[in-house]
Amino acid sequence: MDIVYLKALLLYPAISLAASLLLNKFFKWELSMLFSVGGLALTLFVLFQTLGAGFPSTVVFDIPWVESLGITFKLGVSGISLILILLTNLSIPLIILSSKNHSFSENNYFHSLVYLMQIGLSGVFTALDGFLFYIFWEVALIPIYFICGIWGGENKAAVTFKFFLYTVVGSLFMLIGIIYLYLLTPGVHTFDIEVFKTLVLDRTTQIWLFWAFFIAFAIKMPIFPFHTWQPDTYTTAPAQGTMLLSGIMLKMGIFGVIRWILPLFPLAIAKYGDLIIILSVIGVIYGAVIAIMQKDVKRLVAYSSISHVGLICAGLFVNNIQGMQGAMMQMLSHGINVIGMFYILDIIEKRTNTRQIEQLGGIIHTAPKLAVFFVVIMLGSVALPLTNGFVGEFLLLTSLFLYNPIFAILAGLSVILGAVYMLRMYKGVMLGESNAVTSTFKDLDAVEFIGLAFIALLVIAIGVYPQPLLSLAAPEALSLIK
Amino acid sequence: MAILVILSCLGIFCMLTGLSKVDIKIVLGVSVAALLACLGVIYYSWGYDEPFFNDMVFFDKYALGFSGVLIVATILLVLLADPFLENAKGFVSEHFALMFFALTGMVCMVCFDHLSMLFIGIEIMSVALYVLAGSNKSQLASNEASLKYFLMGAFSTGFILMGMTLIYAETSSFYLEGIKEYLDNGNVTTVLLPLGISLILMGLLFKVSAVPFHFWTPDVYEGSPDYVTAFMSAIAKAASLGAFYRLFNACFTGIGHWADILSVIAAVTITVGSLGAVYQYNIKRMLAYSSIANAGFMLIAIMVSGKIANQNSILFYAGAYAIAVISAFGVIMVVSNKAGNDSIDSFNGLLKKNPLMAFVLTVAMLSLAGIPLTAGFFGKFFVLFNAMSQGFVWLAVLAVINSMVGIYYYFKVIIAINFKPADSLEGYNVSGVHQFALVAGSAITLVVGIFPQLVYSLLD
Repeated sequence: MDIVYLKALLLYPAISLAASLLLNKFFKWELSMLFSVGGLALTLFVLFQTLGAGFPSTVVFDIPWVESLGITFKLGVSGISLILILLTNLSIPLIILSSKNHSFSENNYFHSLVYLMQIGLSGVFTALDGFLFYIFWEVALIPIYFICGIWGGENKAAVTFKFFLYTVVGSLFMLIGIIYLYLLTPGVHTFDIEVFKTLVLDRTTQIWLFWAFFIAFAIKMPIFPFHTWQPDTYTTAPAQGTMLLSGIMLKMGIFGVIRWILPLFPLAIAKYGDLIIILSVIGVIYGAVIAIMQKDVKRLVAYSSISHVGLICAGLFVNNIQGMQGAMMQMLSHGINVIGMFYILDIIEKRTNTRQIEQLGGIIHTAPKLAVFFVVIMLGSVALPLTNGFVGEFLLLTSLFLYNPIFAILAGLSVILGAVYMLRMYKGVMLGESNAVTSTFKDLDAVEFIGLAFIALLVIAIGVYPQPLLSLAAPEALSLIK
Repeated sequence: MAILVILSCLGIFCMLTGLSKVDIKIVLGVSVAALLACLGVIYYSWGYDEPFFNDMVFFDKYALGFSGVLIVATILLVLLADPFLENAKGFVSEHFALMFFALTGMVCMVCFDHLSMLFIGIEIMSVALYVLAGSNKSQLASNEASLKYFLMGAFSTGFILMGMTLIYAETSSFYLEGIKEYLDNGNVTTVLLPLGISLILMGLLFKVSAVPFHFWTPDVYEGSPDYVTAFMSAIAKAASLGAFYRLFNACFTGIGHWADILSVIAAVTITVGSLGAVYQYNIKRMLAYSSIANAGFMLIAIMVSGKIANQNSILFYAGAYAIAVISAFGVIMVVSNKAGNDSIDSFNGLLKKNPLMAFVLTVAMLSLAGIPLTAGFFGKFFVLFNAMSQGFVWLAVLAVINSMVGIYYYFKVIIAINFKPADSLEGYNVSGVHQFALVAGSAITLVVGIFPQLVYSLLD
């Protein structure tokens, strides 16, 4: 693999951002689509170079940044980070595609913020320097705060501020942890994560560092009981903001666990791993049960997201290969499914001006194309075999079963409960008699059709043949198992 | 030394043009050129470490670096003069003359090597500021601000002078090296020295508006004209902290318990400042309390200075803070001129009315709040990092908690600008020069925030 392609891959979001700022008011939806699809093409090109094999960890950039403090601009790509870059660069075009009929897509503010976020996300997934990781972590937060705040729904200022404060507070704990690790490095201090991994930390140190990092990640994911910001924020944010939050940003928390907690604090995991798994499983059931009660479809999917992410987090802490592989597959699948789901809900809301299940119904009669895609994406979400959701969820449940059957049984409830809330939503929104609001519902236009068809295709393709993605990160996943 | 000469001549020039009714635009053009010349002087004398006036001033890198920060901030402020000129009635060039005299004093304050120069610098700066605070003669608040500032400021200057004589009585020297040498020999016998240091400390704490000498700040900042408030809260504050650091770093933080005393004062100052700002609805009062909190952060840098040479971190912090405050005031002056008050609500919907100003004020607030990719983040990071590595973990944690509180009140402004609907869609007339200066301020904040090494390694 020529390193120049990897450099191009990591620099691409910055190029898009520069273009969107320089072209100013000429940078509308069409140009933005062009740039984001270019990024996707580049990602696929890189992926196909090494298809079917594990991706070797490669350092792409290593440039001194703040020399006097040992901070370097060090980015590197590995199998896991490549999967997440794929998810990012796959989601961004879909999110921009879905913004077609929104007024904010008509000038460059929205697009610039999305690309700034893409920079932050790519940076988090590839940073090999602890300080740089923190910077990118915050860079990803600022644009989404503005996206949710500027174009959000009612009560947006208070809701987005709560979200911002939660995440900033969490990440400051992480920053203190990173600085502490830095001060422990021998000789000339450095923020290099590889050096951090060689440190010998005693149990007490590991435990408090573990919590400093875990709280930051748990808020981001969010894991019960750090989730209270999430349903309000997802509901208030514009659909594109929700897609960014749930599709990609949530994976930052999971990735943080993989990058920091698993390799650095094994003794703390031995002590608190069970507690985390229990919290995660509580989140799985709690999210699903509350989702069943919801009347607002967007809120329903928000709670389902808590349920899904709980299972992923549990899989990370059981310390077996199925858990790692399942988490990685599920990160990608959940991203794709949830973006598809919020896209459909956005289409419905735009046409009917409502998100309440009881006010909807019978859309299937006037919009058969939408109904088909809705079914496919919904089945992906409930993890039906041959859809992408199944691969990850099956692996995750297997891993939990190997660890402790009771956890697996409890978490397995999510499959049943998931089917309940999803089918209930589908029935309420699409089936039944059409009413005044839905009788004039227009079916998908060409752009929406392409977007949803692409997502549906991914749902099935990954479900049928997940092996290339599994093998991409297999060596790295194995190395994380102690 | 050339800087001092150029700046005093510039002040005199402005004063004289006031007599002959020269167009103020020309005066400002000449001023900017002269200030740029000062930057040129700084560039060419960088690294030569020259003493002047019988060693009473010493232009080392620290002095030159701080003068550079003060001058860059002043250039920005001069370019942002338009809203001020619109409102000003008569005596405009005299106003700038006073500003440049004050700037001369500030340069003395950061380059002194002899206590009398410190005193002269403080006096030149303060007297000019007393007059400037009251420059809006027709407004009662401005008169009140001036009187309050003058009465209390005069006292504090007296304290400083008394402290200097006591220190002289003990050490028989006004030179920093002389005092340092005497203290290093460890033959302190009398109570004169601690008494002298505490008197100087009180005076300087007043000048930087640290707790418990901060009560004047909100009233004076609110009452003074916007333009003067910008000058006082950004540039005069940076200079006072620069002088504070220079004196204490050279002589006092290494001895006795002064570092511990300062750490307590810093902790209280940060807390009082940020808690006070939470309740403000007037943006100038809010920035006044924020300036108290920021002074606390810089006191942390002064406090650890006895243990490690961290000149870079205070220079970085002061610069980042000054630039952010100046660009914020560049927007505030325009908006509050039009709205007729300083309430945060008058910023509602600025994003729709004027995206450029909205962006600039947002960047300034992000920088003050210490959010990454802005210079303000690295300012806070460097200061707290040094404190942590010297074992002041409790202070760093307290400061971090206060920065979280800070997010609350700085984001009140950001929310108003970006998320709240506008009352009217009437735009603002902003001149080209003003726009340029606003963009320059934000650009400095962002570029230094992305490449902190540009400034952070300057003094090494």
